[in-house]
Amino acid sequence: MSSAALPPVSLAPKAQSLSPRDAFIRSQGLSTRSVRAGRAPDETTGAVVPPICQSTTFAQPGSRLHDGPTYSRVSNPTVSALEEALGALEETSPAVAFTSGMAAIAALVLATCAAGDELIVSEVAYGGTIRLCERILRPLGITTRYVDASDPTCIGAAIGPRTKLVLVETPANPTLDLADVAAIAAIARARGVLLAVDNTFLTPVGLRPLELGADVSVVSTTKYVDGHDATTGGAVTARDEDLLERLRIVRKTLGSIQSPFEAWLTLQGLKTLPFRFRLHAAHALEIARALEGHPRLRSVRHPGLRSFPQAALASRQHADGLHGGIITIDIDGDLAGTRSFLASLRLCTVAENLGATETLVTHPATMTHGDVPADLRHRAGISDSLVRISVGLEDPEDILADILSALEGSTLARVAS
Amino acid sequence: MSAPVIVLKLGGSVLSCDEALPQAVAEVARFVRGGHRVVAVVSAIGGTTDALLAKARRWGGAADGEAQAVLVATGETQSAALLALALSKARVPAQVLDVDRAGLRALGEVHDARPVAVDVDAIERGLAAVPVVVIPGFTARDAQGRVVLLGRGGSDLTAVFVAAELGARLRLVKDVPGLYERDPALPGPAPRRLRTVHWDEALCLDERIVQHAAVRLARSRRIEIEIAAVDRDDATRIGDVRGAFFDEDAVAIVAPPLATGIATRLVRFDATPGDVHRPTSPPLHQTATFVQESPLRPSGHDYTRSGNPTRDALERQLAQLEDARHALAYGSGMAAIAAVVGLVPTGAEILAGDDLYGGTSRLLGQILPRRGVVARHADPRDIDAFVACVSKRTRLVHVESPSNPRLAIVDVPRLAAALRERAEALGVVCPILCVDGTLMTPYLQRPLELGADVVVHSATKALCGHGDVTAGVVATDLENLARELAFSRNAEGTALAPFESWLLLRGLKTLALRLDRQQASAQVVAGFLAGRSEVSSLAYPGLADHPGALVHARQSRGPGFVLSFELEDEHAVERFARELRLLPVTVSFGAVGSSLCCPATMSHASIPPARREDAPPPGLVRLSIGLEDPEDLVADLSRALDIVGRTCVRQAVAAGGA
Repeated sequence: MSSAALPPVSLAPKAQSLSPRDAFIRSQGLSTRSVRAGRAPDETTGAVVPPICQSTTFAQPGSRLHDGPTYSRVSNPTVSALEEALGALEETSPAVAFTSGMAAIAALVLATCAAGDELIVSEVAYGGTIRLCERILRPLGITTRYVDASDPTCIGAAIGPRTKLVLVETPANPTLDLADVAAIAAIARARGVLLAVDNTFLTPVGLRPLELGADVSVVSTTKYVDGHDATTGGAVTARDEDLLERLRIVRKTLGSIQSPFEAWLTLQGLKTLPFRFRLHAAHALEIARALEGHPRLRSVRHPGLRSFPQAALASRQHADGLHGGIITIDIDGDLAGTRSFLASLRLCTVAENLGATETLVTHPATMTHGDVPADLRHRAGISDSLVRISVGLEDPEDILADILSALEGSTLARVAS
Repeated sequence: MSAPVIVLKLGGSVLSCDEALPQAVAEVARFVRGGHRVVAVVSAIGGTTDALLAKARRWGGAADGEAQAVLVATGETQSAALLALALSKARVPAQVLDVDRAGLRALGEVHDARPVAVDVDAIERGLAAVPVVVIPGFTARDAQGRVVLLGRGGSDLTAVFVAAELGARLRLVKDVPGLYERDPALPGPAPRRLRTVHWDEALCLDERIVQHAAVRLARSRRIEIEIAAVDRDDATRIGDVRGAFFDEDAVAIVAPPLATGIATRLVRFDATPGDVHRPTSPPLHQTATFVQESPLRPSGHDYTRSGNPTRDALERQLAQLEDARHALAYGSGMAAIAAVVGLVPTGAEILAGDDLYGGTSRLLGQILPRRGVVARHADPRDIDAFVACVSKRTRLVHVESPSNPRLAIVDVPRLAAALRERAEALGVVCPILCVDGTLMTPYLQRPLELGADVVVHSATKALCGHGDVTAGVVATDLENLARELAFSRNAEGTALAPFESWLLLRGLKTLALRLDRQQASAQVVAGFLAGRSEVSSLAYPGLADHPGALVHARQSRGPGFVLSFELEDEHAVERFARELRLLPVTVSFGAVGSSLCCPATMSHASIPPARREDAPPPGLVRLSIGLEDPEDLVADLSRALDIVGRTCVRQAVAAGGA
């Protein structure tokens, strides 16, 4: 990859040669697209659910140029079906599917940056992303600057002559700080840098980064997209065909394509995504409202709350009043007290991951963000008493009762912090 | 009669041996001194039941359940008499009422019956004369006066039933001071003692601690159960309460691990309790065999055909969903139905509904005759006429509600009651009532709660919901039936494979979500179709003018996601299907993707020639509504109907006027 200036990025969607059926499905509503996109009945057998093409290779005619799948590290029919489905969901070109969210982000950086280039990343970001930047990219000569992405001018001020890519999460993991995608996209475009948005927390059901002007939208399909704790995966969508093509080249070179079986499972999970997401969001809002003001909590954060500092941006940027299924609480206690709270939970599961059908509770300081350097953790506001709740599909009264009882029953030392 | 009545159940842990009688006497006397009148329900003295069962096995054949019941019941009769004698000697006047005098009646299997009546007056007359009435637990008489047993731990059930009928307080006296969150005998951190626990949570605890049938009865009659040790009053209370623990320092309010909401239960099901890795998605045990500890002693599972951990987890969840004791998963819905039908012996009869899935009709009409079993069909909507078809040889009654494809509704509770009456009148054992609930799933309807003995499902449909699994389920509370089914399934090798079980477990997580939405969309589509003149005989239980709408509303939580209607003829159906762009033509139904089926030539083509009169008409269309935007579905149907309507008019004109 040369470090020459990137060609100007076009935001206009390119025409795809879709089958008439795929084209028709793309014209339907969101729920219909989730159920049907990418899943035309199998040409050979008529099977309604696409076959799992669990095959490494595909016979080639030999006598002429082969235009079908060749090798599953390069492309695979089942993975392609997932990519079409994800692209249809966001009303853009087929996605590029990876074996994990981290593989997707890594490929994105390697497809756009080289030694000597600079990356701007929101200072509140998934610990794995920061680990990638510090442990892998920095030694390779790609430097990262961490910036408060909730203020677009900070990003503008941070962009330098070597900046190639801006990567923000919104809502950010785990403080739920929002990034104003349209504003940042305008700045990035003016300065000739790419904007990528990690859309894992809201998914295309809740947020359309490409429509707001971002160049790239990346999700960990492990989370809401699969939704069943069953697969690890990542996907990148974009409108620039050249960028997508570069991503595919990096992907086939590194060998980080999603596996057929995981792709199949993810495709099945995708069928219920809009309904699951809406229910997660409804439950999270209800529970966040009920927890607000609790004497044992210093704060309750959820973009749907009126008390949320960026409430205006939330209502502007999030579709249909859906603010996602994540709540972040700050327990009025120290590390021991927070651990006691986690141990007192009976219904909710303490685990990594989010976006699954069951409520998952995470302690960022020691779990998802355990590898983040301490100073960066503090800048991001990730204290020992911060707890992230991925609200599930259980009856919300049961989830709430569990959280309340854990707050009551744990031994929280009152420590002035 | 002003003194309050308390039912005290004294089990084998308290009446551990004859020498423990004084302790039992002291406990009863304590309550009498406290101003109570006591109904003491007693189990056999510790070890007696097992000893009697061993004698029965040694001297008797396996078949004679009745004689065995008579023998086993003597254990309770003995301890009741002994307790009454000991009480009188201790100058606490007591009277024994054996099950005859107490009028304890139960119905069902000889070893697993359910109490239906007790002579409250007889008990009250006894309590008017003496402060303590002693009744043997665990046993009762059936309608013919035969001795029947109330299942393992059945004295709990006697006690709950008697307390419910008397409106009395209820305490189960044990050798431990209440319920613990876990069996204290198991390894691990010391389990906490429960102060209060909801009925549903108590059902998660081991059956040896408190009989589940007793807890379910208490829940349905809204009775609190106290569980305490002798001479203590810090009892665990089982009732309509949130869970809480006893604690020396402070009371810890704890949310129940298994809450009442069905959505929570669907999502929270722990498929792998005890798994050291604690995965949140269950491991798939894609294995044929399991290593045995020793060639002489079977340990755990040995062969997936017989048992597999992934399938076990699925069956536990399915049983929980049906609120049943047993669930078995098969390789297909037909395998499940065939298993139930296989219980019927040669020479016996089956009475079935007349609107059934084609495959069921084929099984009943073309496979069963080879085994010398005759199936009769009748319309179950007319209960009296239907039940009149029950003969002395009828051993199984099989209906679908709603039926496939006409959505006919069967009044299941009335049918169950009518079958019992008919059987009593004929002097025969009541036939097993089996309901195929595939169009509802247990989320919307629970036939066992309505009085059915067995429920079957094609799990291929909405239970799995993702169109990727073929599977069947049988669920029942009946111990003997479950045992026979399990035996046959193992012998015939029809159990559901591990991977299919895993996928089905996954699908169940979104059952509530899917059905809520699919049902809402179906209501929209039905409303749209009701206004179209091209459509006739629209059938959907959610429409007010559907003949079974009221009955269905009483016995279910919603009208479901399947509807049917008629077009002019099969040509109209073909044209209609061809014009649809969104709905594919497929057999099956219930998946997240909507589909259309023409039963006459598809799902019901398998109806045997002898029953062609019950076959759906050629113009009948069955729609299964999925998760697509209902506006998109309506737009697609509307466009196709427009075209079909125009074609019909054109053809009529061409033929020289309509």
